[in-house]
Amino acid sequence: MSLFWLLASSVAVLSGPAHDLTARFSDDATESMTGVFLQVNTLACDGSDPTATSFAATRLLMRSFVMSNGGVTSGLFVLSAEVLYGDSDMIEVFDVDGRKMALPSEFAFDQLPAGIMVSARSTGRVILRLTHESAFTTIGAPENTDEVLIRVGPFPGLAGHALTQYPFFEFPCAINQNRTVAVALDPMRHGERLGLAYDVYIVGHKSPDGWTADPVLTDLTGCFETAIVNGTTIQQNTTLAWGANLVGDAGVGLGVPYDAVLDFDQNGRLDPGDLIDHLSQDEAGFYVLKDTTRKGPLVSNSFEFDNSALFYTEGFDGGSTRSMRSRGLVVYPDPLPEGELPLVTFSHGNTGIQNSYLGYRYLQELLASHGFITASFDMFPAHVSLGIRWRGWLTNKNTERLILQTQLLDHNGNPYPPMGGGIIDDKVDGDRIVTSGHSRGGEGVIVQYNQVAFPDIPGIRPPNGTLDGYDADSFLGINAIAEVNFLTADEGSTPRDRNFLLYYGGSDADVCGCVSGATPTFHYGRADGNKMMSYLYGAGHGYYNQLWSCVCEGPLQLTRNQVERCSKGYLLPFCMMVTYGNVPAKDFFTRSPNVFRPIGCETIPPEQVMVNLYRDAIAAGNFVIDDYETNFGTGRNSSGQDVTFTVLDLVERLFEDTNPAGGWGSGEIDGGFWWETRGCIFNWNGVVFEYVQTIAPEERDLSDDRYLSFITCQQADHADTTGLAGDRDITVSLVDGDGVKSSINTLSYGGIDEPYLRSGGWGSAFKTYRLRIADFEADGSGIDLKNVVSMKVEVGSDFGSVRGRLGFDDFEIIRK
Amino acid sequence: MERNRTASTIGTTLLSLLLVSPLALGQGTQGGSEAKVGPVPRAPLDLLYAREYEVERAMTFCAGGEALEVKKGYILVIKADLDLLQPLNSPDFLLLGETAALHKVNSGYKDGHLVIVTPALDLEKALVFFGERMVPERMTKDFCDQQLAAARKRGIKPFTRSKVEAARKLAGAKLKVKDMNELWFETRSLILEYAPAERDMAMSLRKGDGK
Repeated sequence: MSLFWLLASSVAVLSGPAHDLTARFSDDATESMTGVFLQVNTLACDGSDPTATSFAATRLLMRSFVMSNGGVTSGLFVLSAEVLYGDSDMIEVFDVDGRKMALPSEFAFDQLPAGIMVSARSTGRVILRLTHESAFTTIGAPENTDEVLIRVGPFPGLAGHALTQYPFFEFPCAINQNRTVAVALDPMRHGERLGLAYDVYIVGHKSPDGWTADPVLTDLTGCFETAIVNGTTIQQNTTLAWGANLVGDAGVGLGVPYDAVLDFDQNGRLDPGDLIDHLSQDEAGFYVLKDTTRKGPLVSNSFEFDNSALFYTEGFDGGSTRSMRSRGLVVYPDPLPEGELPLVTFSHGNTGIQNSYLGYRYLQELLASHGFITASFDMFPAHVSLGIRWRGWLTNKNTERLILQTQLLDHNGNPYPPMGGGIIDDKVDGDRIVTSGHSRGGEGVIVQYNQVAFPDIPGIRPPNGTLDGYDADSFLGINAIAEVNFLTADEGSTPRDRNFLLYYGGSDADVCGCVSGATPTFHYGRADGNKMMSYLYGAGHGYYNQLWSCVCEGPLQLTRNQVERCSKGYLLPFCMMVTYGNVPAKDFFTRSPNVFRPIGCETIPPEQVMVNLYRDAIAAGNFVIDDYETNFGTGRNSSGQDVTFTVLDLVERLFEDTNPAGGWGSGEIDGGFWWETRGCIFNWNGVVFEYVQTIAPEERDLSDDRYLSFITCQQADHADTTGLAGDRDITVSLVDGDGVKSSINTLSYGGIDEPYLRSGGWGSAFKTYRLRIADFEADGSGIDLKNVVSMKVEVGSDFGSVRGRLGFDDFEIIRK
Repeated sequence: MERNRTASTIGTTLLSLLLVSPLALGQGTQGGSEAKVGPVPRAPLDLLYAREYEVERAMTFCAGGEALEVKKGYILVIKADLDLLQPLNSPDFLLLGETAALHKVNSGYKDGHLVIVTPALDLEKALVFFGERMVPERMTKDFCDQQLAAARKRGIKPFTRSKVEAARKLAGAKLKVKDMNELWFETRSLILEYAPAERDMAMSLRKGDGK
């Protein structure tokens, strides 16, 4: 090499190539090392049709780059990609008109400068390289190449709330209107933007095509805020975006949709390279919600119906042939909105109180004011023996009547009498039914579904019984309130794949959870669909019905008003979610009430604990690390991998306590767990203990997954529970293949609650924790989410509470 | 070796973010007015009516942990403590005739009178008593034996001969019917007489003719 070329090369290395490949909103000096961040582009576009409007939309999630020739007047420029980590096709490159470019691509020197758009298909790391080739250059020499490292990873969002500890920010879907909205940007994830100013907008939600048509940013909070990317922590880059007067009234709907946008070119428009919260066809960035315990905008009206001996039913289920009375209360919006409306029905339990069907009016009026037709049925005609199947059948026959009205004929061939003057004729949508039942009525509505979906279960239906007007798919949700479980799953007492919501109270003095046949949690365990539970420490059996007394025992009892508010506050989101696919409603169940609950329930004090459970349907295809239902034994999880531990007294077993007296005992190590599923229990007392689940090799890429989910609770009466009053907290860690660990303490989302002290039995109240996978990356934790080899539960004073005894179940990775 | 690169801070809580003063709402015990339930096993207070029956089509009873096909037995009317008939939702107190769960036709919760159907029993020798709460179909042989032993230990006795004779005399001749539907239909008048608060239920009973 001549001295000239040596000098020239040295200069070039020191100063970089004259030509340039630069990502928009990045630091040209560091983008080859720290790289630029892209999220996976979830908006489909294959680039085959440059005229399609979809490219204009999908480009909003792309990053724009500029290639310049640096004044070179000869030769070719080659754009190429080298995947360092990930799928070979993890990025796509388009020209500015949306034509997909093959890589490598060549450009004549005079074709530059030119813009390109880079879109990410999957997570990983790739180097995008622009190389100059000519007779005077050395191919591959650094002075002829400019590189940008592209990091594609999880993007948690923008809007939410600050947390007081790692990961320091929560990115929820739903935000109550009495809160504030902040936005947060992780300066480690977006390191290429350090030093850049941006404007923070909270805008009305638009679809991707809506943004394409109108990219103008109109801030709805009064004015946009301006901030600068700085420092190394999320805390340093958290900006209050909406401090008061949030608007969450969506009329008959639930949740006003908004998008949060960080406008990096500060031009008041959404452009590629700006950041937007969850741009998708289906969801907004976030939703602001009103109080779900309060009525909607529609006025409700009502009528009662009462027709004796209408439902001739042949004997079954331990009862003889009879004609059941069709009686109940319909509450509906008045005037009725156009079209058919979803139906929500209520079926009360066993009682000596006449007219108990009037006791759910508070729920009926709430739902009617949001556009539901509701009916509550008198179950007295079904008081036959234990009568579960009778209750289910009576609910079915009344439901059939609501849908088909006078089109039906009674057993004598006469048309059914009209109902309510025909006001709701043809208004009930037979394809959208939510059935709610209380106590024996609760198991009744579970069986009601099975009577329709699985009529061949022996004895489940009366001989020659018929149903028309709806089918199994019509049941979009089942709500069971403190229900009994007299029947087995094989007999049809299982919610199966239906959306299932369980209400239950810790002070229930009837269906106490502590004797055979009175364990509502069994149905939660049997459910395969999306399932959720609202458990109230101080709620008894009766206050869910306005005519019943408390039927409760134990301390810290909730008042009737409190129980009704909780009942309303969660039932409305449930009905909205299952009948309309409402997006933010799910937050009420996936997030701990410690951090999010209906506004009307916020005044319920902390010691009157509210606990939630949620699990996605089996059909969702989440990866179950360990549900303890297979591979029994403490050394192997249900996904076939090793489990190691230093925690004490670890047991795996069926959680089906058979002794109603108290919790843990030396002869009853699962005491207090009234469940019908398997799980594990362990305790600790000291500084450092761990419980480690190995992740299956084929499942170790968590970079495009959403949450790590599990359920846990304290076990009553054990010395490590009673020896330290109050809640427990633990640390959950992910560990990658290089041993890098990232940890989140559960207190970020509320404590693991102290068991409810009740005479006559304990209930171990599992609660769900969902830790966002992306949060394990926060503040540059350095973990490689594409190769997570293990998940650790770490306990002891180094990680949280110094001692405790906890039960666990359903460790799983939530895909979407 | 693991390297913890997070700045996880442990020991703080978010609870204060949302929850306001516990004084904001009143608390305390409300309701809880349900009658206290005495111990079981317990005998009925009285036997008022006893009529033999015979059905052509067998009926099924749960007995000793097994299904028992029955064509003969008694329709009885008994008087019982109201706390045993309280209409809760957890399983009812089992009404047992020896180890067989008896069929309760009505609830009896207001009038204290139960119309029941039994399999064939020697009323002067068999123990009829209320046992623990249980779904009849879930009874095991051990459970039934335990209940019976507990009833004996507690001193529960069969109905006296004079009581049985009086009840049978009041009831009259054996009832012969086709099946359970007709049998239960025949109890309608008994419910109306002994448990008039359950008139609606009584009037709903049908023979099975569909009309």
